[in-house]
Amino acid sequence: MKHELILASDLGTYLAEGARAAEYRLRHIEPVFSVYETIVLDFTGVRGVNSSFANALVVPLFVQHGLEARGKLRFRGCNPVVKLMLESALTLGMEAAQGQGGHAYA
Amino acid sequence: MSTPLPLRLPRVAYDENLDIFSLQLAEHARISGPLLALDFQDVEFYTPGPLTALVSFVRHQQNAGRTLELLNLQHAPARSYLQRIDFIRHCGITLPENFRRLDPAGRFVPIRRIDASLVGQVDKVAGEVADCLFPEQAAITDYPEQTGPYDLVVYAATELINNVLQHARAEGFLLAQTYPKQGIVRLAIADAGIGIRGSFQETKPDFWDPAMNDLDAVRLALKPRVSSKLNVASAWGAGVNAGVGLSILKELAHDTDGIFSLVSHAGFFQFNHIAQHEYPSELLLSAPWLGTLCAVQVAQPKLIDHQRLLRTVKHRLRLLDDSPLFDDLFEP
Repeated sequence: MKHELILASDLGTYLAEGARAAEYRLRHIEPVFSVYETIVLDFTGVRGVNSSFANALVVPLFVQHGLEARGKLRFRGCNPVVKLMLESALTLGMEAAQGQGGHAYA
Repeated sequence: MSTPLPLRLPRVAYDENLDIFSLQLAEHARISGPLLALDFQDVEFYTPGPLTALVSFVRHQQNAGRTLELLNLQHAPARSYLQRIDFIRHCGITLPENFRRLDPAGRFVPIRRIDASLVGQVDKVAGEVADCLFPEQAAITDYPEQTGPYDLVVYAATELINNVLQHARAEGFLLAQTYPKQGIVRLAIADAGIGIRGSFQETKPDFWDPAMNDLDAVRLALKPRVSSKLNVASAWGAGVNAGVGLSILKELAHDTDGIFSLVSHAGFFQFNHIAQHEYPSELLLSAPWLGTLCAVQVAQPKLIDHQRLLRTVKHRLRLLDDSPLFDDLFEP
Protein backbone atom coordinates (compact mmCIF):
# COMPACT_ATOMS: atom_id res chain seq x y z
CA MET A 1 0.00 0.00 0.00
CA LYS A 2 1.21 3.45 -0.90
CA HIS A 3 0.81 6.76 0.89
CA GLU A 4 1.37 9.92 -1.14
CA LEU A 5 2.11 13.40 0.11
CA ILE A 6 2.06 16.44 -2.19
CA LEU A 7 4.64 18.86 -0.77
CA ALA A 8 3.87 21.85 -3.01
CA SER A 9 0.22 22.01 -2.04
CA ASP A 10 0.98 21.34 1.62
CA LEU A 11 3.99 23.60 2.06
CA GLY A 12 4.65 25.77 -0.97
CA THR A 13 7.00 25.96 -3.90
CA TYR A 14 10.23 26.79 -2.10
CA LEU A 15 10.96 24.84 1.03
CA ALA A 16 13.53 26.49 3.25
CA GLU A 17 12.99 25.93 6.95
CA GLY A 18 14.10 22.92 8.91
CA ALA A 19 11.50 23.47 11.59
CA ARG A 20 8.68 23.31 9.02
CA ALA A 21 10.14 20.12 7.61
CA ALA A 22 10.34 18.60 11.07
CA GLU A 23 6.77 19.59 11.83
CA TYR A 24 5.60 18.13 8.54
CA ARG A 25 7.50 14.90 9.13
CA LEU A 26 6.04 14.48 12.60
CA ARG A 27 2.51 15.34 11.54
CA HIS A 28 2.28 13.55 8.21
CA ILE A 29 5.01 10.92 7.87
CA GLU A 30 5.85 9.47 11.26
CA PRO A 31 2.26 8.59 12.21
CA VAL A 32 1.84 6.48 9.05
CA PHE A 33 5.37 5.20 8.64
CA SER A 34 4.61 1.74 9.96
CA VAL A 35 1.24 1.51 8.23
CA TYR A 36 2.25 1.78 4.57
CA GLU A 37 4.74 -0.17 2.46
CA THR A 38 5.71 2.88 0.48
CA ILE A 39 5.60 6.56 1.32
CA VAL A 40 5.83 8.80 -1.73
CA LEU A 41 6.90 12.39 -1.26
CA ASP A 42 5.77 14.24 -4.37
CA PHE A 43 7.81 17.35 -5.09
CA THR A 44 6.03 18.25 -8.31
CA GLY A 45 5.80 22.03 -8.44
CA VAL A 46 8.48 22.54 -5.80
CA ARG A 47 11.01 24.85 -7.34
CA GLY A 48 13.71 24.53 -4.69
CA VAL A 49 14.65 23.06 -1.37
CA ASN A 50 17.50 24.04 0.86
CA SER A 51 19.72 21.89 3.05
CA SER A 52 17.85 22.70 6.24
CA PHE A 53 14.55 21.49 4.89
CA ALA A 54 15.79 18.40 3.09
CA ASN A 55 17.89 17.24 6.01
CA ALA A 56 15.19 17.83 8.61
CA LEU A 57 12.63 16.01 6.49
CA VAL A 58 14.69 12.94 5.69
CA VAL A 59 17.51 12.34 8.13
CA PRO A 60 15.45 11.80 11.29
CA LEU A 61 13.48 9.11 9.49
CA PHE A 62 16.70 7.14 9.16
CA VAL A 63 17.64 7.91 12.74
CA GLN A 64 14.26 6.66 13.91
CA HIS A 65 13.72 3.72 11.55
CA GLY A 66 17.16 2.81 10.28
CA LEU A 67 17.51 1.31 6.83
CA GLU A 68 13.80 0.62 6.72
CA ALA A 69 13.47 4.28 5.75
CA ARG A 70 15.42 3.62 2.58
CA GLY A 71 13.09 0.77 1.73
CA LYS A 72 9.93 2.81 2.18
CA LEU A 73 10.67 6.30 0.90
CA ARG A 74 10.12 7.33 -2.69
CA PHE A 75 10.44 10.77 -4.22
CA ARG A 76 8.49 11.96 -7.22
CA GLY A 77 8.54 14.99 -9.49
CA CYS A 78 11.91 16.32 -8.33
CA ASN A 79 13.72 18.83 -10.49
CA PRO A 80 17.52 18.41 -10.60
CA VAL A 81 18.20 20.83 -7.72
CA VAL A 82 15.56 19.30 -5.45
CA LYS A 83 16.89 15.84 -6.30
CA LEU A 84 20.39 16.94 -5.40
CA MET A 85 19.33 18.28 -2.01
CA LEU A 86 17.40 15.10 -1.26
CA GLU A 87 20.34 12.93 -2.32
CA SER A 88 22.52 14.82 0.17
CA ALA A 89 19.93 14.29 2.85
CA LEU A 90 19.73 10.59 2.00
CA THR A 91 23.53 10.37 2.21
CA LEU A 92 23.41 11.84 5.70
CA GLY A 93 20.49 9.61 6.58
CA MET A 94 22.31 6.46 5.50
CA GLU A 95 25.33 7.48 7.53
CA ALA A 96 23.13 8.02 10.54
CA ALA A 97 21.41 4.68 10.08
CA GLN A 98 24.73 2.89 9.72
CA GLY A 99 26.16 4.65 12.74
CA GLN A 100 28.64 6.66 10.71
CA GLY A 101 27.06 10.02 11.31
CA GLY A 102 29.06 12.53 13.26
CA HIS A 103 30.92 15.76 13.04
CA ALA A 104 33.18 16.17 10.09
CA TYR A 105 35.56 18.58 11.77
CA ALA A 106 38.89 17.54 13.23
CA MET B 1 37.16 63.15 29.22
CA SER B 2 36.82 64.86 25.87
CA THR B 3 34.15 63.80 23.44
CA PRO B 4 35.59 61.79 20.55
CA LEU B 5 35.28 63.32 17.12
CA PRO B 6 32.64 61.90 14.83
CA LEU B 7 33.79 58.96 12.75
CA ARG B 8 34.08 60.27 9.21
CA LEU B 9 32.94 57.31 7.17
CA PRO B 10 35.08 56.45 4.15
CA ARG B 11 34.10 57.48 0.65
CA VAL B 12 33.97 53.88 -0.58
CA ALA B 13 33.61 50.58 1.25
CA TYR B 14 33.75 47.21 -0.46
CA ASP B 15 33.54 43.64 0.74
CA GLU B 16 37.30 43.52 0.17
CA ASN B 17 37.95 45.98 3.00
CA LEU B 18 35.28 44.76 5.39
CA ASP B 19 37.96 44.05 7.98
CA ILE B 20 39.05 47.67 8.14
CA PHE B 21 35.51 48.98 7.94
CA SER B 22 34.21 46.84 10.77
CA LEU B 23 37.28 47.65 12.85
CA GLN B 24 36.67 51.38 12.40
CA LEU B 25 33.08 51.08 13.59
CA ALA B 26 33.92 48.78 16.48
CA GLU B 27 36.80 50.94 17.65
CA HIS B 28 34.71 54.10 17.42
CA ALA B 29 31.97 52.46 19.49
CA ARG B 30 34.56 51.41 22.04
CA ILE B 31 36.04 54.85 22.57
CA SER B 32 32.82 56.82 22.37
CA GLY B 33 30.78 57.54 25.43
CA PRO B 34 27.02 57.82 25.52
CA LEU B 35 27.14 59.96 22.38
CA LEU B 36 28.33 58.40 19.15
CA ALA B 37 28.52 60.32 15.89
CA LEU B 38 28.98 59.15 12.31
CA ASP B 39 29.71 61.62 9.53
CA PHE B 40 28.33 60.68 6.12
CA GLN B 41 29.62 63.63 4.10
CA ASP B 42 32.03 61.53 2.03
CA VAL B 43 29.91 58.40 1.57
CA GLU B 44 29.73 57.66 -2.14
CA PHE B 45 29.79 53.92 -2.89
CA TYR B 46 29.27 51.03 -0.47
CA THR B 47 28.60 47.41 -1.32
CA PRO B 48 25.98 45.39 0.59
CA GLY B 49 28.55 44.00 3.05
CA PRO B 50 29.54 47.35 4.59
CA LEU B 51 26.00 48.71 4.26
CA THR B 52 24.38 45.91 6.23
CA ALA B 53 27.19 46.18 8.76
CA LEU B 54 26.48 49.88 9.11
CA VAL B 55 22.71 49.64 9.47
CA SER B 56 23.05 46.81 11.98
CA PHE B 57 25.60 48.86 13.92
CA VAL B 58 23.36 51.94 13.95
CA ARG B 59 20.30 49.99 15.04
CA HIS B 60 22.18 48.21 17.78
CA GLN B 61 23.57 51.45 19.19
CA GLN B 62 20.10 52.98 19.13
CA ASN B 63 18.52 49.94 20.76
CA ALA B 64 21.21 50.00 23.43
CA GLY B 65 20.14 53.50 24.38
CA ARG B 66 23.12 55.35 22.97
CA THR B 67 22.61 58.78 21.50
CA LEU B 68 23.55 58.42 17.89
CA GLU B 69 24.16 61.35 15.57
CA LEU B 70 24.19 60.67 11.84
CA LEU B 71 25.78 63.80 10.49
CA ASN B 72 25.63 65.18 6.97
CA LEU B 73 23.39 62.44 5.61
CA GLN B 74 21.68 65.02 3.50
CA HIS B 75 25.01 65.95 1.92
CA ALA B 76 26.25 62.44 1.26
CA PRO B 77 26.97 61.81 -2.44
CA ALA B 78 25.12 58.50 -2.02
CA ARG B 79 22.15 60.13 -0.32
CA SER B 80 19.50 59.15 -2.84
CA TYR B 81 20.87 55.62 -3.09
CA LEU B 82 20.80 55.31 0.72
CA GLN B 83 17.21 56.46 0.60
CA ARG B 84 16.22 54.11 -2.21
CA ILE B 85 17.56 51.06 -0.40
CA ASP B 86 15.77 52.22 2.79
CA PHE B 87 19.04 52.55 4.70
CA ILE B 88 18.02 55.94 6.02
CA ARG B 89 14.55 54.76 6.95
CA HIS B 90 15.94 51.81 8.92
CA CYS B 91 18.17 54.25 10.78
CA GLY B 92 15.00 55.97 11.95
CA ILE B 93 15.53 59.15 9.98
CA THR B 94 13.24 60.96 7.59
CA LEU B 95 14.75 62.96 4.79
CA PRO B 96 12.87 64.56 1.92
CA GLU B 97 13.17 62.42 -1.20
CA ASN B 98 14.19 64.62 -4.10
CA PHE B 99 13.72 61.88 -6.65
CA ARG B 100 11.07 59.56 -7.96
CA ARG B 101 11.26 56.04 -6.60
CA LEU B 102 11.56 53.69 -9.53
CA ASP B 103 10.81 50.01 -9.36
CA PRO B 104 14.02 48.40 -8.04
CA ALA B 105 13.24 45.17 -9.89
CA GLY B 106 16.25 43.81 -11.65
CA ARG B 107 18.68 45.91 -9.64
CA PHE B 108 18.47 45.78 -5.87
CA VAL B 109 16.37 44.64 -2.97
CA PRO B 110 15.80 47.39 -0.37
CA ILE B 111 17.22 46.52 3.03
CA ARG B 112 15.04 43.94 4.67
CA ARG B 113 14.83 43.58 8.45
CA ILE B 114 15.12 39.98 9.63
CA ASP B 115 13.44 39.12 12.93
CA ALA B 116 11.30 36.48 14.57
CA SER B 117 8.24 37.59 12.61
CA LEU B 118 9.79 35.87 9.59
CA VAL B 119 9.76 32.40 11.12
CA GLY B 120 7.67 30.35 8.77
CA GLN B 121 8.14 32.96 6.04
CA VAL B 122 11.77 32.38 5.09
CA ASP B 123 10.97 30.84 1.74
CA LYS B 124 8.60 33.69 0.91
CA VAL B 125 11.14 36.38 1.82
CA ALA B 126 13.92 34.65 -0.06
CA GLY B 127 11.66 34.30 -3.07
CA GLU B 128 10.87 38.00 -2.92
CA VAL B 129 14.57 38.81 -2.89
CA ALA B 130 15.20 36.67 -5.96
CA ASP B 131 12.03 37.91 -7.68
CA CYS B 132 13.32 41.44 -7.26
CA LEU B 133 16.83 40.81 -8.55
CA PHE B 134 15.91 38.49 -11.42
CA PRO B 135 12.29 39.14 -12.31
CA GLU B 136 12.69 37.62 -15.76
CA GLN B 137 13.63 34.28 -14.18
CA ALA B 138 10.91 34.28 -11.54
CA ALA B 139 8.30 32.82 -13.86
CA ILE B 140 10.56 30.10 -15.28
CA THR B 141 9.88 27.11 -13.09
CA ASP B 142 10.45 24.12 -15.35
CA TYR B 143 13.91 24.88 -16.73
CA PRO B 144 16.38 25.19 -13.87
CA GLU B 145 19.26 25.40 -16.34
CA GLN B 146 17.96 28.87 -17.20
CA THR B 147 17.52 30.18 -13.68
CA GLY B 148 20.88 29.69 -12.01
CA PRO B 149 21.19 33.23 -10.61
CA TYR B 150 17.62 33.21 -9.33
CA ASP B 151 18.02 29.83 -7.66
CA LEU B 152 21.34 30.73 -6.10
CA VAL B 153 19.94 33.93 -4.61
CA VAL B 154 16.98 32.06 -3.13
CA TYR B 155 19.27 29.40 -1.73
CA ALA B 156 21.78 31.86 -0.26
CA ALA B 157 19.04 34.06 1.19
CA THR B 158 17.33 31.13 2.90
CA GLU B 159 20.56 29.91 4.44
CA LEU B 160 21.57 33.35 5.68
CA ILE B 161 18.13 34.28 7.00
CA ASN B 162 17.82 30.92 8.76
CA ASN B 163 21.17 31.51 10.45
CA VAL B 164 20.01 34.82 11.88
CA LEU B 165 16.69 33.42 13.04
CA GLN B 166 18.21 30.31 14.59
CA HIS B 167 21.36 31.69 16.15
CA ALA B 168 21.61 35.47 16.45
CA ARG B 169 19.13 36.33 19.22
CA ALA B 170 18.87 39.74 17.56
CA GLU B 171 17.44 41.38 14.48
CA GLY B 172 19.35 41.25 11.23
CA PHE B 173 19.41 43.21 8.00
CA LEU B 174 19.61 41.80 4.50
CA LEU B 175 20.60 43.62 1.33
CA ALA B 176 21.05 42.23 -2.17
CA GLN B 177 22.01 43.87 -5.43
CA THR B 178 23.03 43.06 -8.97
CA TYR B 179 25.70 44.99 -10.85
CA PRO B 180 24.89 44.19 -14.48
CA LYS B 181 27.87 45.98 -16.03
CA GLN B 182 30.31 43.97 -13.91
CA GLY B 183 28.17 40.84 -14.03
CA ILE B 184 28.16 40.57 -10.24
CA VAL B 185 25.58 39.66 -7.63
CA ARG B 186 26.16 40.68 -4.01
CA LEU B 187 24.20 39.54 -0.99
CA ALA B 188 24.88 40.41 2.63
CA ILE B 189 23.25 39.97 6.00
CA ALA B 190 24.34 41.42 9.34
CA ASP B 191 23.05 41.16 12.86
CA ALA B 192 24.16 42.50 16.26
CA GLY B 193 23.59 39.23 18.01
CA ILE B 194 25.50 36.86 20.22
CA GLY B 195 27.92 35.78 17.51
CA ILE B 196 29.03 32.34 16.45
CA ARG B 197 31.10 31.65 19.54
CA GLY B 198 28.19 32.84 21.65
CA SER B 199 25.88 30.44 19.87
CA PHE B 200 28.28 27.56 20.54
CA GLN B 201 28.59 28.64 24.17
CA GLU B 202 24.84 28.72 24.54
CA THR B 203 24.18 25.16 23.42
CA LYS B 204 27.57 23.62 24.30
CA PRO B 205 27.74 21.04 21.51
CA ASP B 206 30.30 18.31 22.06
CA PHE B 207 32.98 20.30 20.23
CA TRP B 208 32.56 23.29 22.55
CA ASP B 209 35.74 24.42 24.23
CA PRO B 210 35.69 27.50 26.48
CA ALA B 211 39.19 28.29 25.26
CA MET B 212 38.02 28.79 21.67
CA ASN B 213 38.19 32.37 20.46
CA ASP B 214 35.97 34.06 17.88
CA LEU B 215 38.22 33.12 14.99
CA ASP B 216 38.22 29.48 16.09
CA ALA B 217 34.44 29.65 16.15
CA VAL B 218 34.27 31.16 12.66
CA ARG B 219 36.57 28.47 11.29
CA LEU B 220 34.44 25.78 12.88
CA ALA B 221 31.24 27.26 11.52
CA LEU B 222 32.71 27.04 8.03
CA LYS B 223 33.27 23.32 8.33
CA PRO B 224 30.38 21.23 7.03
CA ARG B 225 28.08 19.65 9.57
CA VAL B 226 29.09 21.99 12.33
CA SER B 227 26.26 23.86 14.00
CA SER B 228 25.47 24.95 17.50
CA LYS B 229 22.03 23.47 16.92
CA LEU B 230 23.16 20.12 15.47
CA ASN B 231 21.96 18.13 18.40
CA VAL B 232 19.48 20.49 19.89
CA ALA B 233 15.91 19.35 19.65
CA SER B 234 13.43 21.74 18.19
CA ALA B 235 9.82 21.85 19.24
CA TRP B 236 9.39 19.04 16.75
CA GLY B 237 11.80 16.54 18.18
CA ALA B 238 15.10 15.70 16.58
CA GLY B 239 17.69 18.28 15.63
CA VAL B 240 16.76 20.14 12.50
CA ASN B 241 20.06 21.78 11.67
CA ALA B 242 22.78 19.99 9.73
CA GLY B 243 25.22 22.91 9.72
CA VAL B 244 26.07 22.98 6.02
CA GLY B 245 24.79 26.37 4.84
CA LEU B 246 27.86 28.52 5.41
CA SER B 247 30.27 25.92 4.12
CA ILE B 248 28.26 25.54 0.92
CA LEU B 249 28.09 29.31 0.39
CA LYS B 250 31.83 29.57 0.91
CA GLU B 251 32.47 26.93 -1.71
CA LEU B 252 29.97 28.45 -4.13
CA ALA B 253 31.84 31.75 -3.91
CA HIS B 254 35.02 29.84 -4.71
CA ASP B 255 33.54 28.13 -7.75
CA THR B 256 31.99 31.30 -9.11
CA ASP B 257 35.11 33.47 -8.76
CA GLY B 258 33.57 35.45 -5.96
CA ILE B 259 34.26 36.66 -2.47
CA PHE B 260 33.02 35.12 0.75
CA SER B 261 33.26 37.05 4.01
CA LEU B 262 32.26 36.04 7.51
CA VAL B 263 32.78 38.31 10.50
CA SER B 264 31.64 37.36 13.96
CA HIS B 265 32.77 39.46 16.91
CA ALA B 266 36.58 39.34 16.74
CA GLY B 267 36.69 36.56 14.17
CA PHE B 268 37.20 37.55 10.54
CA PHE B 269 37.35 35.26 7.52
CA GLN B 270 37.47 36.28 3.89
CA PHE B 271 38.36 34.38 0.77
CA ASN B 272 38.78 36.59 -2.26
CA HIS B 273 38.79 34.49 -5.41
CA ILE B 274 38.56 37.49 -7.71
CA ALA B 275 42.00 38.54 -6.56
CA GLN B 276 43.00 34.87 -6.88
CA HIS B 277 44.25 34.74 -3.33
CA GLU B 278 45.76 31.38 -2.59
CA TYR B 279 44.65 31.47 1.02
CA PRO B 280 41.86 33.16 2.90
CA SER B 281 42.39 36.08 5.24
CA GLU B 282 41.80 34.94 8.78
CA LEU B 283 42.10 37.56 11.47
CA LEU B 284 41.41 38.08 15.13
CA LEU B 285 40.22 41.68 15.14
CA SER B 286 41.59 43.96 17.84
CA ALA B 287 38.18 45.57 18.32
CA PRO B 288 35.36 43.02 18.19
CA TRP B 289 32.56 43.63 15.76
CA LEU B 290 29.27 43.14 17.60
CA GLY B 291 27.29 40.39 15.97
CA THR B 292 27.76 38.45 12.76
CA LEU B 293 28.05 39.56 9.17
CA CYS B 294 28.09 37.33 6.12
CA ALA B 295 28.62 38.74 2.64
CA VAL B 296 28.75 36.81 -0.61
CA GLN B 297 29.74 38.10 -4.02
CA VAL B 298 29.49 35.90 -7.09
CA ALA B 299 30.01 36.31 -10.81
CA GLN B 300 26.64 36.04 -12.49
CA PRO B 301 27.82 34.36 -15.70
CA LYS B 302 29.15 31.48 -13.60
CA LEU B 303 25.72 30.78 -12.12
CA ILE B 304 24.12 29.37 -15.22
CA ASP B 305 24.01 25.79 -14.03
CA HIS B 306 23.11 26.01 -10.37
CA GLN B 307 22.51 22.29 -10.08
CA ARG B 308 25.94 21.39 -11.43
CA LEU B 309 27.58 23.94 -9.15
CA LEU B 310 25.83 22.62 -6.08
CA ARG B 311 26.60 19.01 -6.97
CA THR B 312 30.30 19.80 -7.35
CA VAL B 313 30.37 21.62 -4.03
CA LYS B 314 28.51 18.89 -2.20
CA HIS B 315 30.86 16.24 -3.53
CA ARG B 316 33.86 18.27 -2.43
CA LEU B 317 32.39 18.70 1.04
CA ARG B 318 31.59 14.98 1.17
CA LEU B 319 27.91 15.72 1.60
CA LEU B 320 27.01 13.57 -1.38
CA ASP B 321 27.95 10.05 -2.30
CA ASP B 322 29.47 9.61 -5.75
CA SER B 323 27.69 6.42 -6.63
CA PRO B 324 24.06 6.38 -7.81
CA LEU B 325 22.96 4.85 -4.52
CA PHE B 326 19.56 6.42 -4.54
CA ASP B 327 18.46 6.44 -8.17
CA ASP B 328 15.87 3.77 -7.45
CA LEU B 329 14.17 6.04 -4.93
CA PHE B 330 13.31 8.70 -7.48
CA GLU B 331 10.29 8.44 -9.74
CA PRO B 332 9.66 10.76 -12.70
